[in-house]
Amino acid sequence: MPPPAPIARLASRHGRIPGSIRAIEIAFADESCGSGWSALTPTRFLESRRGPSALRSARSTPTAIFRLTVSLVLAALGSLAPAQPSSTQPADPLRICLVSADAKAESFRAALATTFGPDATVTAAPKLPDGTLSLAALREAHAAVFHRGPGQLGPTDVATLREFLAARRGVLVLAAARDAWDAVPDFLADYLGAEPGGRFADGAPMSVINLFPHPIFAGVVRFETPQPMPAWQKLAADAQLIMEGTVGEDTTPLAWLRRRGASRIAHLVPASAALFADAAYLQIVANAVRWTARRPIPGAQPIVQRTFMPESHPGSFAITFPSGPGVCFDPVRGGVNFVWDGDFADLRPRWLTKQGEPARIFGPVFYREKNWQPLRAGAPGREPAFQFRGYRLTAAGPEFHYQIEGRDVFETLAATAGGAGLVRRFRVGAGRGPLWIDFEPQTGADIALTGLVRDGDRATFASSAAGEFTIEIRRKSGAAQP
Amino acid sequence: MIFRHLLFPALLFGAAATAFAASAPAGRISGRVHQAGSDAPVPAAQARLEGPTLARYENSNLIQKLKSTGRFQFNVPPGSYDLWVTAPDFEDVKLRVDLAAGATIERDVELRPLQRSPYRVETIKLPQQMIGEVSGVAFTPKGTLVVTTRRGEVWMRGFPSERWHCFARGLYEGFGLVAPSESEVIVIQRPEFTRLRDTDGDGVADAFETISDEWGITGSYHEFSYGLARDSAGNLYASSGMCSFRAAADLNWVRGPLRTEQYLPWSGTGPVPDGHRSVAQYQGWAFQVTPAGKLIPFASGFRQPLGVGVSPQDELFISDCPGAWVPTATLTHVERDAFYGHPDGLKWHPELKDKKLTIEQLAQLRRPPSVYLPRGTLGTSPGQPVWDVTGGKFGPFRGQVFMGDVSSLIVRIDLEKIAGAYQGAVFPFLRGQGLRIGGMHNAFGPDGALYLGQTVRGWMSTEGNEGLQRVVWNGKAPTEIQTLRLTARGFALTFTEPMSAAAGDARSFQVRRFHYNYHPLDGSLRTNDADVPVTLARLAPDGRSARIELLEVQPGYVYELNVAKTVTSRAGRPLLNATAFYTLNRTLSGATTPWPSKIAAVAQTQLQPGDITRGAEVFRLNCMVCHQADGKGSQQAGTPDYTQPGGPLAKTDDELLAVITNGKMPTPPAVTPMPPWGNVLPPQSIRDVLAYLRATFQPAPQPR
Repeated sequence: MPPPAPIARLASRHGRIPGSIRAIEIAFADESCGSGWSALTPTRFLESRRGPSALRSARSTPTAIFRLTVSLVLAALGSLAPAQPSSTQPADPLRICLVSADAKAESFRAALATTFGPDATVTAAPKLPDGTLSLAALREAHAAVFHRGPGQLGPTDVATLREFLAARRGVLVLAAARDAWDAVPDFLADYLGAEPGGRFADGAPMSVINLFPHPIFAGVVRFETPQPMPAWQKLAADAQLIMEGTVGEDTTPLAWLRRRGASRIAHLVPASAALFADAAYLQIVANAVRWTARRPIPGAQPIVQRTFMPESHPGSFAITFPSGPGVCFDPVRGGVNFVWDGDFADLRPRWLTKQGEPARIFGPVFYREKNWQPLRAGAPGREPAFQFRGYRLTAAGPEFHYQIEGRDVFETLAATAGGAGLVRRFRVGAGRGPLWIDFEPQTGADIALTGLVRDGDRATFASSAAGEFTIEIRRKSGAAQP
Repeated sequence: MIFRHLLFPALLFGAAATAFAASAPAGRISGRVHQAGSDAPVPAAQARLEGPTLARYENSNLIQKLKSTGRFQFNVPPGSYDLWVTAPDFEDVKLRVDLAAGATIERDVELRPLQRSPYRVETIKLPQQMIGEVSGVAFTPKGTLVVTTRRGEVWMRGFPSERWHCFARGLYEGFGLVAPSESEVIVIQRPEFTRLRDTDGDGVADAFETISDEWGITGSYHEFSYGLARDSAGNLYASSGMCSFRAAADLNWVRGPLRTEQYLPWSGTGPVPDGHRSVAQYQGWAFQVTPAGKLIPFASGFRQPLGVGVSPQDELFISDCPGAWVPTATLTHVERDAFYGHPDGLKWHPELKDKKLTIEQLAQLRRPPSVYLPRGTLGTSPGQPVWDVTGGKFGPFRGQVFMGDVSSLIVRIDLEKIAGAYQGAVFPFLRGQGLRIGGMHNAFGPDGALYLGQTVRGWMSTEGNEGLQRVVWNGKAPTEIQTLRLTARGFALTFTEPMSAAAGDARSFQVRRFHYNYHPLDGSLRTNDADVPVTLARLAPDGRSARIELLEVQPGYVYELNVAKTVTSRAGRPLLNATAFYTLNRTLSGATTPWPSKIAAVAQTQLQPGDITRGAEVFRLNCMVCHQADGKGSQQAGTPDYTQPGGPLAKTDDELLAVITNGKMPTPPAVTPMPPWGNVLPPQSIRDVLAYLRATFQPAPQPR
């Protein structure tokens, strides 16, 4: 068994190419199959377990058209870097406008600026002589932080605000208040997707503040506050709840995310003078601003959770990368069941009741596979002995370890640059005979291979010696939009 | 084995009781609970109604949590019931209630405060970010407290710093752990045994090694993987709960083979009362995982075996929750390849999977539990057994077993090995005093305190009280029965303090014994419940031990001992817990089969001729719903016409007494069996009701 490769060593390989490795880029198209996936019935599942019939079926699909193109190795490898800031994101410092009528807005602005550091500027919307705020600074801002709301505005500022909200800008609201959004009366319902509902738990402090795994909480070791919370209700179905408060058996949403058109919106219910000076809170605010502005979040790691995922075996993994995508890895089937365009998986359906439902994912799926144990040893039609051995958490993503017919396989999942796809890097130990992978038609993704020999819908790793190969799954342009 | 003779009547009874319950006009049992000597309500009180007509409900009982008014109300079919009222800091009250069809019975229930025990319950403060669904508790050799949560997290509290940090996230419902060090924790999570390691010293696990995952799971919410315990050789032990087959079972995604049929198909009418089934491989089994990572299906026959512990002698013990085939909660010494009762897991047994054993064969194959924990007094669903190895830091109970329960209760178990097998006595240990519900996983800490991880989410209201508590001894001797051991003629008791002379008086001890039915219904009521006369009691001169002798000591019964309040310590302190239950599987000579009973014979000779008036009341309460007031029977209920010549009353008294006592299969086209009323009514009542039948419905002799 080869020892696990240090991450640094893996990363260093991107710059050099072993002479024996070829790169092959394959694009699949199967218009008639839709996503090429449907929910398995028990019978179909058992059939799929038998393997060969499912494999034959996949190969004989008459409408499947496979297009094979060979591209240069460098082009393929160049996209294999671990998750990094998207090249499409603006390189200039993040410009943030703080919109707050609070008397302590300036100290909050200063604390926020310190938290962001040199890669961002934080300006406060100035007060006009009539006491209202001027939102002119929004025109140049990548993101805005609204404390409660903008309050009363003049017609020009109302127009500026509406323009800002309609643009691809980041919107973070702290402790939204209905009376502070008269300028955009539909803001709470349309943008935040929720309604205020009075005091929560008669003003008792939270016994639990649950932070759901999300890059917005990167670097936050502990966040606690005795602040009583307002209640929010009627959360929109597409709202991603990322923080929840509990008193007794009652819970209330404390932070959630929405996407409205091209805009990303975050609402953080806790907000108080004490919190405005709290390092953990400021970190959450800074991260949330970056998330809404589609900027990378420093220190954000891939999040790995085992649960009961939809259309997957119990104990499957929900892996979400800070800038996307989300991945379901199934340790029973032995492969990636699906990849979605998003950075969040909601496990609450499994948690909150006795008879839980599978986790909920946010974002469209652009890749699916269902063949039973797609990576095979020996004869490709024979179901191999598959043994899941565990995983390691690395900065790039989880490295899974399993054995196929006793041959060690270490598979690291990483996001492509910008989060538009998934890179599956395989390190395999020595073993008898070749390894085979059968691919299924995909309408939403292109697949690029390195280190494998492609023949139709099947690829081979022929060497009996230890070696490496890579499968990159890239969302097709326009196939799945956030 | 010992419960074999009750199998058939039990099946009939359950099916009939269900049909009976469905067809009878309901009556009402209601009342109010308050504190003794005042009108004040009792906080967190609950009323529980248990009776044969409730066989279709979980554990044959209904539970109501009382609100501030203290009122309860059950609308139930007519019949005989036990009404239990309990509250955390109060003594239980149990009432017998006979409810006629359409009747209303109102009861005023007074609860008296429990004595305070010298054990203090403390709540451990958790980080605000931690959801307090603590599902596993362990300590590292250095004393660091490590817990798993059902949300898939592992948290550590440093020792002695008491600072918490999250060691791991993202597990799938961790349900127990062992903690070899601050950088290595082994967790049983729903799909596997996993070794978590922090390889870079940052206090957070980064390597998750799958030690073993070679059993089946489905999407069913209820098939928990329970554990975790380790013996001195490094073997790990866990168990698998059964799939809740009737509700929310997602069987489209199954790891391993799927078998949904029942090993022993349900023979009653209607749906099987308990939907738990072993549909995926080795559900309902105990597992051993060797240090090399090899999984050994260790023993079978479990239902929801959620407490897994290893004794200081490296013996595996598992507690199970009542339901089908598990008549009440149990703690069992588990030996390799043995079968412990629930047959559905036998679908995965290498030799027995296709044998289609009958219920009688299963009863012979089944090993009885080391102890039964009678429902009510000793909780509902027991948690993990842990042994007091604190060297006296936890009080005078060295070597004994402590278990939490889903209810607000800790029980204490004094085991002994009789003729090569464990059995013993169970005592209530601690209720109230701030003890929360849901203490399912426990561990003794380096401070000698008993730590309880508490979670009940999904099963009952948590009121935000899930989390972690510890029970600390204040150093003062509790006044308790320390041990209760079997002798040839009765029991030997030891006490934690010298006791008063009343402990040498046979009248101070009341002993009853009873069976449980081994059957596919959801739990079992006590059956063959009878007093066992205490013929002698002797207190040792030092007052620390006593011996009691019984009219007879028969195997195959649970013996309930109640000590009178007159028995106090020489300092005048009453016993904190005056009740114990001894599961007598074997006598000292190793006998496991009962012999003709003196108690039954004596009872028979004491029977009087049937009393028509009393029989009329028994008939009205228990029989009239199916047999009708005019004795003409009901086509719907499938009951015969007593008034017809050649009908049931043409049989002899002995024949009819046997039918009423043991029940009877239906005669087609009727489908409802006659219940075995011997499990519910005393023999005198059966004689009384027969006398009433003869006097009221006996047809005139046919002219020749």
